[in-house]
Amino acid sequence: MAGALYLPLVKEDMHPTEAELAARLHVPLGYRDAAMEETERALLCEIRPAMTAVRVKISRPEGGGLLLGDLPVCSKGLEKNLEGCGEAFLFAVTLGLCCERWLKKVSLLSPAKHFLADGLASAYAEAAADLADAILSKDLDTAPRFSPGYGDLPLSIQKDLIRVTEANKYLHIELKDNLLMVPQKSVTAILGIRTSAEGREK
Amino acid sequence: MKKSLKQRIRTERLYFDGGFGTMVQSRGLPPGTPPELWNIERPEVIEEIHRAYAAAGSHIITANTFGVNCEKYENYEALIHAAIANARRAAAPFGAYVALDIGPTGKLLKPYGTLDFEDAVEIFARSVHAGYAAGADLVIIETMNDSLETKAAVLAAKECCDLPLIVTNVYDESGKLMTGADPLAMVALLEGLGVDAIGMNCAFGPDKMAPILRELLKHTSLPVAVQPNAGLPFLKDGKTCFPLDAEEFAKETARLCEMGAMLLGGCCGTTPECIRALALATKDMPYRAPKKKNETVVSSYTHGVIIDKKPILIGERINPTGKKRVKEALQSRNLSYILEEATAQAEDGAHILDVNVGVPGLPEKELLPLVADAVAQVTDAPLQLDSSDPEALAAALRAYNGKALINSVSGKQESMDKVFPLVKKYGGVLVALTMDEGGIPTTAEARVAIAKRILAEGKKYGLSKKDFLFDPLCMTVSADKESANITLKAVEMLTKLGLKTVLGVSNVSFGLPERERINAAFYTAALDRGLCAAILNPHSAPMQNAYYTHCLLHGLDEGAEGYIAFVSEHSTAVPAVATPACGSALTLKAAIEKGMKDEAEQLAKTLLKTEAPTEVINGHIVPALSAVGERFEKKTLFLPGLLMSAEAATRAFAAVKEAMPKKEAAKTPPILLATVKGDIHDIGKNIVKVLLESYGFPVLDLGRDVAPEAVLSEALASGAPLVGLSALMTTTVPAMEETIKLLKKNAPHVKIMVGGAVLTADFAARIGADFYCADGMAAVHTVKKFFEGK
Repeated sequence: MAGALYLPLVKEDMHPTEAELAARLHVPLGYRDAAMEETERALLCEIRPAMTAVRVKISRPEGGGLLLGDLPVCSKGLEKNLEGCGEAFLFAVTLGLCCERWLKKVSLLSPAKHFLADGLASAYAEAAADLADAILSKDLDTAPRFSPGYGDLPLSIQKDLIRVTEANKYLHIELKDNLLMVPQKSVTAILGIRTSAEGREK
Repeated sequence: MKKSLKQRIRTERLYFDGGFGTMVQSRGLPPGTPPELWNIERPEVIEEIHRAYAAAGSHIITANTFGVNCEKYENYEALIHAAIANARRAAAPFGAYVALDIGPTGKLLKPYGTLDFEDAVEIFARSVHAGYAAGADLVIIETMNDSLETKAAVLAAKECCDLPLIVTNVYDESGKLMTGADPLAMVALLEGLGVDAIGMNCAFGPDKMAPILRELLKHTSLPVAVQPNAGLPFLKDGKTCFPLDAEEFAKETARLCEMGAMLLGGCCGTTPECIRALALATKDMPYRAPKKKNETVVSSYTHGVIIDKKPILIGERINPTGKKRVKEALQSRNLSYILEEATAQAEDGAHILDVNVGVPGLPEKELLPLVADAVAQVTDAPLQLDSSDPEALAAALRAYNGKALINSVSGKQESMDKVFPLVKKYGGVLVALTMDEGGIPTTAEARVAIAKRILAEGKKYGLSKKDFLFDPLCMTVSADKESANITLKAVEMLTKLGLKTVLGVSNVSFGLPERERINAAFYTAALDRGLCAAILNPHSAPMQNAYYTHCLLHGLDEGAEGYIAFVSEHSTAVPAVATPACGSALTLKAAIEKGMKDEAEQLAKTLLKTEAPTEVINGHIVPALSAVGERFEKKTLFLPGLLMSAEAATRAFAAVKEAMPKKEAAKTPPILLATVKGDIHDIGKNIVKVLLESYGFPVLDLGRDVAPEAVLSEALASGAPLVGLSALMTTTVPAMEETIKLLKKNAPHVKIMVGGAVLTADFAARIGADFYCADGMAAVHTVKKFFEGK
């Protein structure tokens, strides 16, 4: 296995979608107010987004299931998602530990502000995953990314994803016993690379 | 006589070795296999790599123990013994030293991760024991990106052996550790802990290390180590590559040597050729001994505060003496008020925060570290740990993520015997009270004599002037008209001796009216005589005025920025309570509807001067809440706005409650709220809490991940008639059901309401809940109905 690619992400390139913001903050699509904007400014001062990724071959053993590099995975949902893919990126992104510390601080001082801060941070974590997705997908035909917890892909696979992407070493992501990540605002994902497009790969 | 290694580290340029993992991989270690396994399986390969480094000129050979600890390996002792033996065989012919190499545990420490500080110390201690027993010559703690984990490793090393200790951290391009510490913070922490050399390794190449090295050299009196990578890694044909070859690496790293780094080596991507080239490139450079800096510095987990010419403000507000709300917070362990006070003091300009938890009957040894840790989670100001109990100080100093100011030691022999060893072990700057067994002397000269005695005694522990702030003690001027003069004279005398001073200035006015007038005048006079730091109320405008004008007039405020910022905040032209754009005065109702917390509190207090507490509630707060609730239900106001209003209403309620006659404010049993065991998602529960409190319902929040037994015992102890349980994940709903069963069996009088994303009304009924609440406002309606029906 090759070493993982580590890349800091540019905050200015991260754009949470309106749908994500509306869902996280329980507001209508496109809604904005002063408190949201103030909290967003504060959040942007605290995040240090970064990603790690590895590119692996996908094999399909006769007995069923998938092998992502040397990582065995049993998930019908992922199998369907990776149809037509011969390789995949495994990747992890995080907003960093300073953001975690800031969220903890806000939670201790104001539950109302924490609701806003936490929702915005979740939306930005997704935006970080979107950005990583875009960086990795450049000039490739990729499947929609698939994360642990989607469909039947168990959260327990995060342990292996964190290991393989060296996210513990580079991003300092740790998996707790309850399978939640620290920093909480982190995402792991699998991004299939469609074989049919490989000829077009630059 | 041959120099010891500690002496050599202090007086010579020494070379470490370089990268190891890639070297082992190039000799056939399969990818993904930890290199430490070959300590036992392929010792000849490990020895050969070490020998290559020793032959290249490395004075210090780092044993292959970086990834070994008792958490990862049951046979960690055997792996460490083998590693040291392999390194020793390679180093011996060259007269090189063998270092036990300690890397991070790979786990995050609490409160963000799962690892307890003392467990981390224990993990490191086992490795150090094994390395010491195996005959290591020194300990290197490296690649540390968390200041608290670094401290755990250093304490373990110092407690288990007396070997030389070198510590290097990983900084990122912003010049900070992953957890936020800058170079000055690390200098303060590590010099305080008594390590032999400090520095940085890994992360990037030598070119990017220069600005960080400059900061380290500016502040440290210790030798500085640099071990850069061979540049920033990149992927080529699926393999990780490094851009610098040996010559380029040596040339760039030699620049760091020119700047003053005297312990040189390499990290990822470097090879014996890099070290050979580096030794060659630097051999004719003059040796530069580290210079004593003598900075009086304390630190937090992010930054250091140097106590020098510019006066330092120490916030005094976290102290139960004379402060009912602090005392209540400590008694109930509900620290919200203390945390708000901590942030408010820092916002008002306090550079350091005093933390005193001395309440008769409360366990100070347990509370001081607890409160200090909680305060450090909401502010990055360094702390002054304030206690007369050496055991409480020891517990708090051990766990503190930084170098603390310690309040206090006195000239009493017993005090010095107990406190000085703590400073020697954990680091810190001491507030030294100029009093002794004979009490507080009545002359400045006698107080200065005690300061000199304290300093002389401190020298026995390796402490010097820089480790003290002398407090010549400020007595109330109403009891002795000369007392202020004596204190001021002592400040002047101590300053002339080159000693730093501190005063608790508020004492001067005790027993007199309009105290702030006296405090500010006295503070100004003390500053003029050289006072370095004052323990005071940072919210006080007259004290701030004294501070900012002093700084301005004494050339300590570049561009008058501090003064202008202060004046713009405190200009008398600005009304105390903001008015809406239309110009009409802001009402309490409007403040709540707009979610303006501070204004709501102020306006409630103003109204209480003319209206009865119940009138304020029924005439202003309840109508505001009704209006807000209606807008929320009509979907013209959304959850964030609803919560902001609720918090504003809660603040107004708190002000009203304070003003209520005791009988009216009699304690009603609380509503218990908890997120069930196994579930750490507490946002939903917190929303319910905020909303219920805004309606004046007392809430006892048990937090998240709460065991069924804990919910039951708190329900019984508090007499709560209603318990609210929350769960977000399907996996934790069984824990909710278990909690309900336990409550129904052992506290059948208690009603239970439940909520959470995965629940439905049907399911709630099935698991035995009395009420289901679809959202926060539904919880409010449920609770109102519940109490109306009682």
